[in-house]
Amino acid sequence: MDSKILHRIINSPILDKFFLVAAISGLLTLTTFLFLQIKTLENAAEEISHSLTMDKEINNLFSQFDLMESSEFRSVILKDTTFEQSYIDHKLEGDKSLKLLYDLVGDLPGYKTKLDSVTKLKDSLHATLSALHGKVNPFGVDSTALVYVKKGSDLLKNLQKIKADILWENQELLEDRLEAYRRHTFLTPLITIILALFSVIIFTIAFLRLRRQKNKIQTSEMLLQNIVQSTDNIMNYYQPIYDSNGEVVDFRVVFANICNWDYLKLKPKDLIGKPISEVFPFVLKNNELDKMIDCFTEDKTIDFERQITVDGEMQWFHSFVRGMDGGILEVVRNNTEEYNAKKDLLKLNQELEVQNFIMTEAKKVAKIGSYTWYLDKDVAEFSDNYYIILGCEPGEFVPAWDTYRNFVHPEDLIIYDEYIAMGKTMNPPKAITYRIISKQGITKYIKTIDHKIKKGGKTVMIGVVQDVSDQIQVENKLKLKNQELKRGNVELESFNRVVSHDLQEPLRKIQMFISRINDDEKNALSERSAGYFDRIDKVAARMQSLIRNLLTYSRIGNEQADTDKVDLSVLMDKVTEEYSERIASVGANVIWGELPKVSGVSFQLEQLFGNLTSNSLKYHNPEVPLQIEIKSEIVSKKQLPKKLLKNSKQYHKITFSDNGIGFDDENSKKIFDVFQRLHAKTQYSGTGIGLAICKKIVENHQGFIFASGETGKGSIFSIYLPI
Amino acid sequence: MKISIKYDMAITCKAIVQEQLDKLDIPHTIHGIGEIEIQRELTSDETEEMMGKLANYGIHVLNDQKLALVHRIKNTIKEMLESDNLQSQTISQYLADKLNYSYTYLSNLFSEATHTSIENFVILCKVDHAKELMANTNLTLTEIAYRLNYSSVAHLSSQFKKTTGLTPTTFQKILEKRRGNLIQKTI
Amino acid sequence: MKIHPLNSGNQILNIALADDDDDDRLFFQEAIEDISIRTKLSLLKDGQELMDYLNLPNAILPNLVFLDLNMPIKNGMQCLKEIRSNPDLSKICIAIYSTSCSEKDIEETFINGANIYLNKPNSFAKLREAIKKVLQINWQYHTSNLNRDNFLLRL
Repeated sequence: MDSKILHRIINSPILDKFFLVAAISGLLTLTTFLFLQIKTLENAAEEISHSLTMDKEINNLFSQFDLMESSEFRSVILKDTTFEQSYIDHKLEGDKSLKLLYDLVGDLPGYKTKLDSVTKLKDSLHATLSALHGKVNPFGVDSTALVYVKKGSDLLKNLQKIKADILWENQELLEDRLEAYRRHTFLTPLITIILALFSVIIFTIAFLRLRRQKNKIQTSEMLLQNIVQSTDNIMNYYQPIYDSNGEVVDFRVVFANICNWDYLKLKPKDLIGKPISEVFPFVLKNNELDKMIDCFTEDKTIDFERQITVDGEMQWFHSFVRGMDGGILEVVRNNTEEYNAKKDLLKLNQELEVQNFIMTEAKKVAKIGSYTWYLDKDVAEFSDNYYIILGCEPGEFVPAWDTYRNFVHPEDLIIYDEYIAMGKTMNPPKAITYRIISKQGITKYIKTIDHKIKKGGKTVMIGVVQDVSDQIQVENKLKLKNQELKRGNVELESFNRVVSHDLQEPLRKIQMFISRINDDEKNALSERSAGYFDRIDKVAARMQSLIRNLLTYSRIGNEQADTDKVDLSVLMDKVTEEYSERIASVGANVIWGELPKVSGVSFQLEQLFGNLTSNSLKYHNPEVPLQIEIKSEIVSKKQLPKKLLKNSKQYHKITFSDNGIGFDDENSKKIFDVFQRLHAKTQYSGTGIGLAICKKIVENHQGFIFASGETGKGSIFSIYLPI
Repeated sequence: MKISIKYDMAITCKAIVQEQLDKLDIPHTIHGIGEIEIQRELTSDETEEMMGKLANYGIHVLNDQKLALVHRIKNTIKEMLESDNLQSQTISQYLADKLNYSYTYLSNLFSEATHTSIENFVILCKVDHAKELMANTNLTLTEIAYRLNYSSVAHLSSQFKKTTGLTPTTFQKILEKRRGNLIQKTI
Repeated sequence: MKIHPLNSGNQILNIALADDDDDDRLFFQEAIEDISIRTKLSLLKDGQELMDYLNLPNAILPNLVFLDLNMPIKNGMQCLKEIRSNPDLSKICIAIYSTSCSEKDIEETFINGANIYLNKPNSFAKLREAIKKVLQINWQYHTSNLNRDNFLLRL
């Protein structure tokens, strides 16, 4: 954490500025200091040279004094007046030197008083020497001259003393100054090095920082470039175009990314440098340009929707514009898909509403309600129709299971409670039906089917209820009817047994006895009795065939019979063989074409065609040779009467036709009824059950049989058997 | 446990007769079709012993020549039906040739002794043969009809029905259910 | 010398009829007497009587038993099952002799081991013919090498 803060501080621009100021002031200070140091050093050097000059001038001055004296002395001694000139030279020289010294000393007060005394002494010396010079003649020396000499040498001695004084003083000063100079010469390079080092450090830091800054800028610039290039959005940067009044009237494209091509089919390089009103003509619509100008001048961010047709396809865009760096940046997102999705959603929503409406209506019609029961809180939601089923206004009561339980029929509470208890603990049983008493006191049967689901981590039971009162009523009726039917069937079965055995036995015996008498004793009977006896025989035979046929009729569909593939051609072979005698006696011709194999009960089908054949043989026209023809074809169920319940798409249509006496077509339905005979008993033998048996057999095969006829011409039986 | 077996009476009888006669040291040749030739004259004791031994197996020596001939007729018919030359000859011709009697004589003799005509007996045998094939092989009715020289399945079916009062299909069904019944009982 | 082995020498057919109806027994007896085939007929009044007769220690077993289905005490179906489950009686040929012509009855009796199903006819002549046919075919099954397991006859 610390290093981070440190890092941040280092990198912060405020610190940068502070650092910069510190560096500059440091440098300035150091430079000034150095400059002053050098100046001081220079002064020190100057002062040294000043002291040295002074030293030299002092020596020079005093040597002039000596020279003055000596030259005076010389002229005195030599009595030569010529030397006077050198003396004046020396004196002048001395004065010059003194003057120079005065200049040199300047404001050094100690020296000045000394120099003043030197001046005084020099003047005295000069006076003395001048006086001496007057005494000099070429012939001797005046005794007073000696006095002057003596005075002169004293003066010199004093001068020498001052000279030594001054020189010593000067020596001291020089030494002081040398000391200072030496000190300064040591400090100056040190400071220079410090300054140089400091500068180097500053430069290095500055350089490093600069480089880092540059890198940073480069990275962020690259990042920015990447963003601009890889974004899905159009990103354009515009700069304003001003008119002569300095008002913004348009923008010029400065930068445009590749998305312009992707969405608008405009190449970025064709855009750059051009006014947007030219390259994006759509900005002139909907005041977009004005908005953008506002955005620029008022420095705000705006966004708006834009609809453009590109390549004939309607595209939707959302545009964001904001001022930036003396221009505006426009970011445009293509939200056509979103828009379309939204549109679809809207449409779907509408459809859903319609469906919901239909559902609600359907619920009403089908008397269906639904509910959601939150098991953990014992709170339920009922659909409106559930309330209606309970005889209440929708939302009339708050559905909880206690409030609902009040509606349950007291006799059904046990099963209801069991059901709910089961539902709470485990998966509820599939469905239950129980009674409720509606608000109006009407007992209704309710069928509930529900499911347990997890909804947001909670167990919720959702269910559908249906008012099945009508169904139950119908069912109950049906049950009663079924029971009646079953009873009827049982009765019929026992009746069948009675008929087949108990009724047949005595009849058979009667016939046996008849045959015994017929065989042995018939001749013993009177003619009349024999006639009666014949009649008894016939009646008995008829009764037997009646019983047999009735039995057959009642057995069809009651007895379990195995279904096989029955080849009707083979079957017809059998039938004609069975009836061969009668066929021969009538002289009939039975022909059939290719007949199909049908699935059915073999002996029943045999009976069917046998009965039809027998029927034709029985009702043949004695004047016309009987011709029986059987044909077959496959027909679709559409060719059968509509009202029939058909369970197969295709049927075998088997046509059984003859050229017998036929019948009136009016009776085409009647002839299939039991005991329905179209002829007098005596005219044709028959029990009146044969065709009824045929019909029952065909129906037992889920088929249909129809008859059509014309009196005197013949009859046609059409049999339809499912494929 | 019950198992179904099938046996050929002719082979069984032949084996028994051979064994018994060998035991009694009687030299003989068995000609099949119920006829044995004894190579030497037997004493009355030997004859009695032989007849007694064979009677233990239900084999009786026929003294009645007519009855013997009837048996030979029956056996010849069976032999003929089992052979492959069914097509080539009529029954009458075949029997007459094989047994050296006129067919009329054989026919009368047969009816007198068995209360059935030879023709009916042939049909009975053929149907019986068909039953055997239905019961013991997986042959289809068409194949059986072909084997037994019926002109068609329908012909076989109608003759079958006439003889037994049942259709071949019903017959097969009953046999199947009988076997199922048997298995249930034994389990 | 030539001798002919034969596996059946019994020329008289032993027949039994179990029927509770006096008249039917009478008709049957009269019809069988009319037939040329030599027979010995035993008449039993119900199923129990038949079974007792068959189970006598030294009984001469009939070759052929006619069984009425609808009988008191022990009906035909019970007798059929009893006979077929007794190995000693396995050689007996069983003919059902009944008024019922229901396919169910016919199939059931055949499955339980009946060889012949004969409907009681309604004339004496027919009865005679039927019995004759039964006897003839039964005769063939007794005297020829026919497989008795496959002996099924429906009249």
